Amino acid sequence: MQRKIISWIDSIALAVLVLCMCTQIDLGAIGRETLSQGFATKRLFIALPDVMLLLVFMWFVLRTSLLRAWKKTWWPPFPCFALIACMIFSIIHSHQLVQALQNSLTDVHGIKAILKAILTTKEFKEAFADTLQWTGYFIFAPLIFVNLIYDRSGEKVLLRRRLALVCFVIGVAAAVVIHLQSNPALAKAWFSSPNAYAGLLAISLPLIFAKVLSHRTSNISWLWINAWLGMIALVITLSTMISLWAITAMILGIVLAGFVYKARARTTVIVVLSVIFAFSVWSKQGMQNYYRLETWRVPSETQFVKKQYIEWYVAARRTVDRRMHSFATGIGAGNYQFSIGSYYARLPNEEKMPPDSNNLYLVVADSLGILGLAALFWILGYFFKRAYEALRLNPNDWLGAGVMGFLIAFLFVNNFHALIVRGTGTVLAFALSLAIVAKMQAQAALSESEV
Amino acid sequence: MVSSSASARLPKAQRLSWTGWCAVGALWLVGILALLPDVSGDFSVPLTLFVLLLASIIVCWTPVCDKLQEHPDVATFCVTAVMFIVYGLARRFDGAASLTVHSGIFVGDEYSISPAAIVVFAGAVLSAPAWWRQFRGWTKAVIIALLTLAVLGFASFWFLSRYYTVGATEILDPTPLLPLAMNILEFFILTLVCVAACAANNTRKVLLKSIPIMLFLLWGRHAFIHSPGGDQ
Repeated sequence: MQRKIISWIDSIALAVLVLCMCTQIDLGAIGRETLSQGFATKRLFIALPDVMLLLVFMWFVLRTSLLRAWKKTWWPPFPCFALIACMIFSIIHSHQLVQALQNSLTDVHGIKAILKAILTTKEFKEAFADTLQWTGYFIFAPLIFVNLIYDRSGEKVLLRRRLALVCFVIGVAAAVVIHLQSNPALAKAWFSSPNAYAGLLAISLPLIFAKVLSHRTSNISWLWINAWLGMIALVITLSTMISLWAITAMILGIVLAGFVYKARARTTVIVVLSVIFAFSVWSKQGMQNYYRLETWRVPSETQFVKKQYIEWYVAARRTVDRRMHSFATGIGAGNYQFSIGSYYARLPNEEKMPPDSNNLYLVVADSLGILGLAALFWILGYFFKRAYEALRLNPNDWLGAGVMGFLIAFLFVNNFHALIVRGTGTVLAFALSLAIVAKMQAQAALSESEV
Repeated sequence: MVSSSASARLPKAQRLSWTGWCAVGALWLVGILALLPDVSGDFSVPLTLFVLLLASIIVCWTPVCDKLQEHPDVATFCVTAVMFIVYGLARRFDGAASLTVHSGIFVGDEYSISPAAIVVFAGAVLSAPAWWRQFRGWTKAVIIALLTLAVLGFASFWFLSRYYTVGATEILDPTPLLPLAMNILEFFILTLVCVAACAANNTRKVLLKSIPIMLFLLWGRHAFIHSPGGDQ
């Protein structure tokens, strides 16, 4: 009885977490707003998906203890822990962060000094918040997702894959529907940035589309209905996205997923027709088209090249500041924005708050150093390989191909919109976990067939 | 000639081990060079060394080390993480043996190659058979990270050079490109040496067991021994 109740709560917790991760709703903020005084903001926003992740993690610890299932628990692989270790190295090896700690040592000592530094300095607050957030995304979230979707706590495996995927589709569809409404306030409340929204769709759609492409049936009419429904969904989605980079990433991801799944003809037809239809919808969207072209335009209103692209070079040059130990361990987790301004030198530094290259790789290389960036690629490579192995073991299962498409889109879109931000990091963890679930399922199917 | 033919007669595992010892030696030399610079104004260095020392004692001098022996990729990560930090310290000592290079493309760009870089380069050359074809997950990830940074840095410079004047005193300063390229190259070579040192069981074991000693020496030096007028 107790196991049944726990199982029900598990399902509800998983469903709620998956639904919530497709939003960026802010529940509140801590810290002072200092933008008007000419400083970087001291506010830290708390997003609904992050709070849900924490609550579900607490439930997960409780239920696993109650079920005494820790021995059967799947644990995140070493690369995930390596990334968090790199974050800690980046903090303790950061000249400016340790300077901030030293300054707080003047009146108090020991643990009190560390607490004072964390609570009172912006640099430490950001470093602490970032480390906590990434620990959530790269350790807690995969731990929760894999063990709740492929639940091995009982005698038999309880699979919640369909539940998780249906909730994911509902969550993404809800975000699209919100953005179809002509209510900018609602859209902003749902997703604080249109680029983050476009990025979410860019990575999610390849995963969802692998399912659309997957119907291996002799019923040709069902195949056509499925393809048409997929196409309609894609055209509607494309009409709400304003980032052409995200659209490119999404198409790349869908094409890769379709090609590795060996559904090449269907993928080509769906993508080509969807893009043609999307163009006809876009011709009626005057304002959205202005923003769409803006993403590909090089100059800004005031200078030859917009700040985002100038900052790519500025960020790359900061990695070689020896005094800041930048190359190996970076400037400190979460501290990218604090000193980037001084590295512009004579390059025009346009007013834009907060300053951001929006390039995840440069942000990570600057803040965590080459060690952190390598650890991030190690994680992505590890899960990409698991997805590939799942597809090789069971070529009929679409999930491996979907995760591969997701990761390709993710790798591309993060050059232009950094997506490991509050809320959206959970979506990455979800896809990474699905690679493990697909591999476990494929292995189980293989051993069953051997028996 | 004699030594190369002798080396050719050795079994493959032994040859790997011999070249692996060269890599271990190069890493230890880097550790010794890291004792030389004075960083008395920078509290982050002894703090990092202290944390690494504690972590390395837990990892390398307990049964965890046996687990590491079974996972060469994880061991390579641990060695690389430590050596990246130690190397960053070692190359702050430029001594009399340092070389200054110019790209020859832009006026005013120069880069001082530290003795540590020379040691690492020599170590990578000598240990080539040990790291050759030993690229596992972590090594591949480091190479991808370095390539990503190279592509983004150089491509963004090329892109901006189409819009802004280029020169050491112009809007777009090209002088960071040489340090960027050299940093990428140095850390790539260092990674190869770490891979070589972790390739064989015996070299990996000795290196892992000796890392806490290296870190203890470095921590003691940078936490307690300061020369007057060091780096501020």
